[in-house]
This record gives sequence, structure tokens and C-alpha cells, in this order.
Amino acid sequence: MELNELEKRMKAGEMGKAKQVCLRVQLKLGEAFGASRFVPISRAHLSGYNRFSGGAKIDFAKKIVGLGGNLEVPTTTNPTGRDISRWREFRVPEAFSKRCSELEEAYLELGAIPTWTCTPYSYSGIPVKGEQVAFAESNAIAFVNSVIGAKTERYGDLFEVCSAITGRVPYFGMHLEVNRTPGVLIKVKDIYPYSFSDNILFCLLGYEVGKICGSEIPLIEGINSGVVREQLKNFSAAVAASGGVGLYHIKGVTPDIKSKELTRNYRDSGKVYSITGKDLQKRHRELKSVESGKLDLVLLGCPHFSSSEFMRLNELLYNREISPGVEFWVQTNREEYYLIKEMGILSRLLSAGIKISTDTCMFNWPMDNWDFERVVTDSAKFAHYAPNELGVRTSLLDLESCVQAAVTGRCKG
Amino acid sequence: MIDKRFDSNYLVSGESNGELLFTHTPISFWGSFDPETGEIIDTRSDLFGENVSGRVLAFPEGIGSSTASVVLLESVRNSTHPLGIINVKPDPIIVTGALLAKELYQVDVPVVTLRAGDFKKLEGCKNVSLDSTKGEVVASVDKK
Repeated sequence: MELNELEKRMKAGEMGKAKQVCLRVQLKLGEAFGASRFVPISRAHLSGYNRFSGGAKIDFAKKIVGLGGNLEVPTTTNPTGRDISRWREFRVPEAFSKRCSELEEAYLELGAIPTWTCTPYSYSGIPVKGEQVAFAESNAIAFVNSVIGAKTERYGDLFEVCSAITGRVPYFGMHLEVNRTPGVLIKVKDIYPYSFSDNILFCLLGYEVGKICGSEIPLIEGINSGVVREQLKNFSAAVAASGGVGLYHIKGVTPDIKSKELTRNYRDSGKVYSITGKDLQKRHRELKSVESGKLDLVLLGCPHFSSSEFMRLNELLYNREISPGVEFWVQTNREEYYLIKEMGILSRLLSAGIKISTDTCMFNWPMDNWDFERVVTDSAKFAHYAPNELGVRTSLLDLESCVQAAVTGRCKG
Repeated sequence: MIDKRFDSNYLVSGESNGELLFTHTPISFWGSFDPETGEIIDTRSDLFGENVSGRVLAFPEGIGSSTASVVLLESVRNSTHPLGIINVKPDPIIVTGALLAKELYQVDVPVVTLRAGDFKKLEGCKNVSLDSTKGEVVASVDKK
């Protein structure tokens, strides 16, 4: 890789040991993936803490802090392993909570913006089309690449920390325009019984596209306009979880679509697939493992719930209460929490029996102090990971059905 | 024993030798693998219940969460890590984990890619040797 003057100095250690170590990791990766040089980034988003991060993540963060590291660009943070103010209420083990705070403090020492959310693209931190960034969090990577048209690679956690410290990334993969063209054409047809106004449609579509693509870049046709951000958020989470998709194009929706020639190429290469309502129903059945019985938990907010989603939930819960014995958790970030508090929605939801967390995700902390068996969710990403991660039976349902189950306290098989 | 030699591309350097653990299905280190024990915990995987420690792990590609790099790093911290990783499709997430392991813990986990056709030939081999200085992967098969 060709280094500019600044990078040569960084490599030689003239800009401090922290930058030297981080650049070294980036150089080796860049060379392994054929990057000819570095490209500067304008912002970054750091992965947070979870129970599988264990000591390694803290070791690395502390090493960088110890070497005098500082972040070169505005840098937001992904969920940590606890709701920082309410971790006791969510029965996060105390020792684990302490470990989370070690990583949180290390990030703050480096100069991070403490958003603790998996939807850093929902407000001021949002990149614009064409911005070169280094993001962790698979749903956020898919979202900023596809819906915004910013440019990040699908980095492994901690590489984005290195990037934020050096202020640059190896110029490879999806940072280059030429690597962002689709390799697979997917036609969405006849989606009955779902409709484009259903959020769950986008969970299932994302899930199905991920299964078809693996890590290929799809071009998706047949989705009407009128798609809203929340649907693309859910699509991004599902497609990145079921496959390894870091970038997708939806004709008429996402900004990065090129010309009609692309469509012709797929027909010629044979990489054309279709998705129908029957395919989606089949996937939906795969994501339903809850049998009839007492409902233990409703989980919403994977990715973090937005204020408009809270408004919809509030409508559905009007004059209704969660059945005692059912936990109903909604995951969000501090910004949305503040807004719904101002709107008066927060107090209504809390009095209906809902628990709202900020800063975290249920996948991030050990569930030793809870005994959940049957969980329903409106998130395909959650339904996909939960059975293995949490040892629970999980069913993906539309929001209305989640609320209905919570109010009756029962699951139908 | 007969040896099969494959030209290969080393993404992360190193040398190791061990029993082969092979699968045709992609692996997600986050979600499918427990770095405390080294076990594959994904009930959907044909390697469910197998332990990767001390073995060379071959799978076509990595999928899923970006946390996979740190899970791999954690397994190095716990000494439950595979001795090496063989893929078809290069995965920057897996490479990141291995590079960080070198930097943080001074442990080598070589990561290498093979052509798809050669990767398939690994199936059924007992032992695998990785050596980045030679740029090749050597697999031993019991002679029938």
C-alpha cells in the first residue's frame, strides 16, 4: 500500500504508539484485501460491549487508552451491555455491569460521542451520500451503505476503533464505487397475503434476500415507493443477519442505483431470483417456534425503536394493559426516550406495564437472572438469533399481534 | 498417508498443524460459537457440538454479525481458538480478529483462502498444515 507523508509518520510511531498500533493492523488487512492506499474517513461508529466480548475488547480499548490514543473523527457508539441507569431493573449481573462500564469509560476517554445505539443514523450523526465512514454493527452498515449511500465496509468489531484512531481506512471493498454494483437481481412479485404497508413484510423480505444472497450485493425490484425509514431499518437488520449483506439496492427507493444496463447483466449471468408471498410465508414459519402456552416476553426495538414506532405502539395499547406475568420490553436510545417523554407517551406506556431500556440490547448481557421460554418479537433479526443466543422459543409477529399476545398473556402455537 | 498440496492465499501469516474440522456451511462466530469453551453452539450447523480448539477450521465463508472478530479474539484470550482458518471467500471480519490476536496477545492464527474446487477436496482429510512462508496448505489423507 502506498502511504502519504502523514501515514508514513504514523507508521513510524511519530504520532504516538496508539496510532502506530492501529495503523499496523489496518495496513496488514489492507494489503490482504488489495487496497492500494488509505482513504480518510469523516466519522465512525464503534461496536459496544456484549457478553461474548468478554475481556478481549476491554483489553484492546484499555491498551489504546494507555498508549495515549484519541479519536480523529466524530465517533458514535453502539449499545453497551447494560442500560446505564436502569441495569438493576433489568437484572444485569453486577460484575458484568462493572465490566461494561470499563469499556464505556475507555471510549469516553478516547473522546467518543456516547449514543449507545444501534441506529446511529437516525439523527445528527447521520452521514450523507458519498461520505467515507467506518461503521460497526451489521444493521447500521447495511443501512448507511444502502439507504444513505455513504461508504463503509463490513468491518469486524475493533477495526472501526482502529479506523477512528487513525482517521482513515484501507481503500478497498465498498469504499470504492466500482465494488458497489449489484451481482444478483431479485424480483419481488405477488407478495400476498402481506402488503407494502406491513412492517413485517420488510423483516421477511430482508431475511429472504439475505438467505438468497449470502454476501452478494442484490438489486431488488418490485417494491413500491412509499417505503418508510423504519421498514428499511428492519430490512437492513434482517438482511445483514440472515446473510452477510452489507449493501443492497432497491429500485426506486435507495439512492445508489445506476442504469438499466445492470438489469440486463443479471439476466445474462443467470443470477436472477424471485420472491413471492409463498416464499415469505415459508420463511415466516421458520421464524416461529413458539408453541401454545404462557407468553413470557415481548421484545421490540431490535434495532432500536424510533419515536414513530412508539407512537404506533401507544395507539395499539390505548386503554389496554399488559397481562401480569408478561414482560414487555422495548429497546431504544436516549434521544428517542427523551422525545417520547416530552410527548407524554412514555408515562402512558410505563403505566400499561411496558419496560423501556436505553443504551443496550438484550443480546448483550447474560440472561441468568431471567427465566424466559416463550418470546414474541416484531424483529426478524431478533427471531433469527434468539433461539441459539438466549435458548428461547421465538416467534416473529406483526406489532399488533405482539400487543394482542401481551394483553392476553398467551401465545397461540 | 498421502498429502494434497494446495496453492493458497494467506490473509494472516502464521504456521500451524492440526486435525481438520471441515464444513460446507458458512459459520458466524457470533451466534454459532462459544469462545469460553471453543464449541460450535449452532444447532443448525453440521458441526454442532464440535470443539474447534487445537484444530484447523475450514468453512467456505463467514456470515452474520460484525462481532465475529471479537469473538475470535476472545477465544484466543481463552486459548479455545482454532489453530488456523481456511475459507474460500476472504472475510475481513475474521482477518481482523486474527490480526488483533497477533497485536494484543502475540498469538498467530493463520487465515488462508483456497479456490472453491480445492476447498472441496479438503473434505475427509485428517490433518492440515498451514505455512504462510510457503504459501501453501497441505492436507493429509489416509491412504486406502
